[in-house]
Amino acid sequence: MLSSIFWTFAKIGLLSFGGGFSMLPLIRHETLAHGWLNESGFAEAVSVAGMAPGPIALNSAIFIGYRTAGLVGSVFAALGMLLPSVVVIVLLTAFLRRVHEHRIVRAIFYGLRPAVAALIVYAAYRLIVSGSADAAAPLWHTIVIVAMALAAFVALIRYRLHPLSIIVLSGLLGIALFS
Amino acid sequence: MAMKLLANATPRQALPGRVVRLAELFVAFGRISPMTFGGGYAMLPAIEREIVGKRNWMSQEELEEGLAVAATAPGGIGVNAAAFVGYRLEGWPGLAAAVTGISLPTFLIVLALGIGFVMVHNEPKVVSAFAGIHAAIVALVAYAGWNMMRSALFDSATALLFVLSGALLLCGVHPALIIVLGMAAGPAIVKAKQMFGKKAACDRREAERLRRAAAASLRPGVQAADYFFGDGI
Repeated sequence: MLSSIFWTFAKIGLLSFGGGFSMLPLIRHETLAHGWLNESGFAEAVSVAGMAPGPIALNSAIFIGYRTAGLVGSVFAALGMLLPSVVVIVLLTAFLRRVHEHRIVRAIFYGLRPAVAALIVYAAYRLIVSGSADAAAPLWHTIVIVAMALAAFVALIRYRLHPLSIIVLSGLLGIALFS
Repeated sequence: MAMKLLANATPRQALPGRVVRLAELFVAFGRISPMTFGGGYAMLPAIEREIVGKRNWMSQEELEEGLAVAATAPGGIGVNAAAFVGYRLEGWPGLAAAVTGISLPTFLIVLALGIGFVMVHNEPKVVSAFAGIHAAIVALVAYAGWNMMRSALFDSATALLFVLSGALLLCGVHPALIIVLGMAAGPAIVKAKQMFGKKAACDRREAERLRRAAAASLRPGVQAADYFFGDGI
């Protein structure tokens, strides 16, 4: 179990370009495939991960590791995510100092960036679907969630509100509306 | 090769000096971590302030080059920057100190949230709060996607790649495959453009430079064709 957690997140860590948001679809895929969490459990993991500072992919890994195998599980998940970055950084600093200026590396990133953008947008789409997929919840519930997500998006882009204040406000609004 | 990897980047100091330096690395990156919400590029100014401004551990140029490497490598840019600075200053022990410093506060916060969540996640009030928080998290992810789109999509090829990747994901293609396909498509497109005698820009800044150069070479009064996708939105 622990070695499966470690290697799964090491694999994810190796592919996590673009700050980690792009890895949410892959983390979801692996988490469901291993049966560690179900769809709503994954949505909870991302919510908790987004409430803490730091990269969301690493935070999700820590939470999923904790829910799957306790404290040791969270340590193995974090180490797995960190291992590939650390190894790649050491190799790059030791041997290929100016790697980001190489023509081929720049060409790879030219194609990588749109793929990463698509992965992040897809992650947001999956999250909104899983948040409103609960069949027991009434329709107005789903509509309110989508409207709140839109409002929060506008608050981030237009009014540059701090993510933490948006999270706190949304939590309070959730209590006011849904309970 | 192995020797080079294992050797320290700087001459060995006396042991007490090294221990102090390792502790300082740990503290410097530990201070950066809890301040940066959403991770990513928001922490770069904080890293510069700690490493160059306050402690003068390396020159501005050296750090900037390191940050460029950190952005190229997989993983969070904060963790990568910590790994670079730690390794450059004190070799493997420095790397361990800096990476632990930047990861530990976050780790503890997530763990505390996780333990708290498991304890109360059946409370109706908590369920309601999480329904709201879920909406906020969707917006945060969408915001990150929006920013990535703005920097990644600047010509028709990148726009096409974006749409294609999205369609494949919706069809259930494995997310890792999308990454690999993107990495393979980049050099292929650049090569194809060069074969047709076009200048290929690999990022938005280079594209803008090429566009300005093209505009300058045209007769006055004639506007250069604008291929930009989503420019200015």
